[in-house]
This record gives sequence, C-alpha cells and structure tokens, in this order.
Amino acid sequence: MKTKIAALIASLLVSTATLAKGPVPKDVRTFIDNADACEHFAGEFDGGLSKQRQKEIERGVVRYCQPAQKQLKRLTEKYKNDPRLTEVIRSHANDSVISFR
Amino acid sequence: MTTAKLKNKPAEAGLPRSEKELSGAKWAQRILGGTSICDLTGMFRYAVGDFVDAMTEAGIKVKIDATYRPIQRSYLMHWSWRIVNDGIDPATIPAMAGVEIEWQHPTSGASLKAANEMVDAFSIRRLRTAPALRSQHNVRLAIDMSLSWSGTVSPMDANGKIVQINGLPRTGMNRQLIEIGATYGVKKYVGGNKDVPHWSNNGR
Repeated sequence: MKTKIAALIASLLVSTATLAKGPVPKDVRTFIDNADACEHFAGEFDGGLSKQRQKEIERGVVRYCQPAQKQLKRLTEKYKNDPRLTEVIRSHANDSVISFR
Repeated sequence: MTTAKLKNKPAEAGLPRSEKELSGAKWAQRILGGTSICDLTGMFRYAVGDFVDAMTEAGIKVKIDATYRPIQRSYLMHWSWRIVNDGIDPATIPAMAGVEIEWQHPTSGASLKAANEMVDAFSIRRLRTAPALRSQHNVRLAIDMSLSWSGTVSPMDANGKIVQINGLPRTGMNRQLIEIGATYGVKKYVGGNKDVPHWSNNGR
C-alpha cells in the first residue's frame, strides 16, 4: 500500500513539474539548438589545432551563432509578454550568441 | 621581454605586491593545449585509451586533434578577443588564478595593440565570436579525433564483443562505431554531425 501511495505521489509530482515547464514552441527550440551549438563551437577553437579543424570550427560558429543571434532578437520581441518563454530564451542567450559579429 | 612590475598602491604597503606581466603575443605560448590521451582525467582517460586501442587494433586510423585545453588558455583567448572586438575596458577584466597578466597598459592604445597581438598569436582573428570560457576540453573530459578506415573493420566493444562494421560512413559518425564508443563511456557529441570529431564523457 505504502509503495502504491509513494508511486502515486511521485507521478503527481512529475506531472506538476511537466505542467510547470509547459511546452516550448518550435521556433524557441530551434533557437536553443542553435545557441547550444554556437556555444559549443566557441569552446572548441584553439590556434594550436590543425588548419582544417580551425576552419571547421570557424564555419560552425557562423552556421549556428548567426541564426541564433537573429532568432534571439526576434523571439525576445515575439514572446515579450510571456514571462516563462522570456526566461527560457534569456537562459540560452549565452555570451557566444551575443558576441557574434 | 618587457616585464611590468605593477605595484599596489602605497596605502597597501606591507601587503604582498603583485608582479604582473603586460599582455602581448608572448602569452599565446605560455599556456598550451594538449593532444595526448594522458592529459584527460579520471576514468574517462582510461575509457578513451581503451576505445582508441580497440579502434587501432581493428585497423581504424585515429588522428587526435585536441584533448585538454587549460581554462587559463581559454581565458586569455576570450578576453583578448573581447578587447579587440567588443571594446571591453581592460581595467574591468576579472583576474584569473594562475594567470599573472596585466591587460591594462599605460595607454589605451597600447592595451589595444597588445590585445591585437594576442588575437593574431592565438589565430582567433577570423573567429566571429568570443572563444567560450567553458568547454568539456577545459575539464579534461573531451577529445577531438578524426577517424577513418577502408573496407570492413571489427573492433571490440567494452564488453568483449567483436562488432563487424560494414556500413557507411567510414568516419566517427558511423552509427555502429558510436555505439561501441558508448560501451567504453566515450560519447559522441549530442549535436550529431554538427561536430564530427568531438567525443566526450557526456556528449557535450
């Protein structure tokens, strides 16, 4: 009995957490993917790497940081009245996205 | 070599005096990254060693491009890039333990010139964003390696099972090879083929 109650409480907690998180629209998910990849590539670069690897990373930065920066501007405006999504967007607006030029 | 001995204010006499060295190109050679598996840490080091051994024994060519990058090196790259590209005031750059660098020269022009020298010395001139201050490479838990082979290869996974790989591609993006790597605890980058050579302890 105790086990069943514990399982029920656990499932309720999971449901509540899921509701609190809520769905993330596709355009925000795309931004998150690009922002994460942007930061990843920005953390990969080193002048001591082979020229081929350096070029791969430079291309990766452009491929993901450029769209992420544009999406950041657009989505911040689009969801400015949604505090939850604003926070999701803000938390992924890393230095690498902001610094891109 | 120009050494600036920047002393604390007289009011702080009696306290230890800092002796920092001015920024400039020479810093690019002070703290270097590594390409050795021995530079990795803990169990991950042994996991990568075993995985690489299994691949080479099966005839897979392994070319390691990077393993460990000291956080101090990332710090030097990040802030020199930001002085040059973001116009950051050198006086506001936070200090980092183990890096006795003085970013602020007697004139702002000299500070900028030295940062430009560092950007060139680190080869980050063409990089269009600031080098990140954190990476799995900084904590010795990532490796970049190019993998290639011809025909069919049969590496052993961490459970002792021989796996015949006869599918494409013959690179680190091969699905079977990625599964074998995972048995050792060496995980392919979660972003898929966005970054082909990158493997780590957690896929990040």
